[in-house]
Amino acid sequence: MLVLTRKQSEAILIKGEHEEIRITLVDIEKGKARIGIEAPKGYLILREELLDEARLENRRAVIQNMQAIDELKE
Amino acid sequence: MNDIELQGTIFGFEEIGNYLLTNPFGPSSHFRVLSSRDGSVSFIVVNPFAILSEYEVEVDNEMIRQLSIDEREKVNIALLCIVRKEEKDLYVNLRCPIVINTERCIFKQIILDKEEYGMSVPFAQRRP
Repeated sequence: MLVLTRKQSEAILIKGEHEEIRITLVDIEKGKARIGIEAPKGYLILREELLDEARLENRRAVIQNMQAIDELKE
Repeated sequence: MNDIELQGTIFGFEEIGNYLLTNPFGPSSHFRVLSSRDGSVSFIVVNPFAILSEYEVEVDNEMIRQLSIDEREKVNIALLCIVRKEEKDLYVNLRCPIVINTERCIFKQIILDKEEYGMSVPFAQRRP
């Protein structure tokens, strides 16, 4: 992982051939950083733990056996 | 609604892209089953508007583009259900609806920017 040091209001660019993503360190306070992200269309910007949670819940939603479906029919 | 072949992905199962939406509960049920074409995973899904009086999904312009939606009536929303063996309750994931374009047979699961929508919310004391 590339690690860069940024001061408040400084940004990092991730430049692709046709598009770029801009990440700005908006504010730092008490061990928390507020980060602004500008990305082209098509990018889903998420807190990582939210996606992890969604994946976990989806795995829990998988029907373990088809008997569950039969039970629901009743 | 007959069985529909759909292309799309579910979070946590990004390697699977082809699904079949079937109707084992009968045409009048609000529930359907979404199964991968290879049969490795199946989910029970439900039409949220049939079971919840206040539920909102904002389909933004980007979603409209990605799902090639040109008429709003072609969009269906489905929620994943969690059926726990030990409990009678059904749980739904309000936060991560599946947006389906039934005309073009594509779908996308999204994560709503609504903290009040839980990912595992009990909604029924009874079986559907």
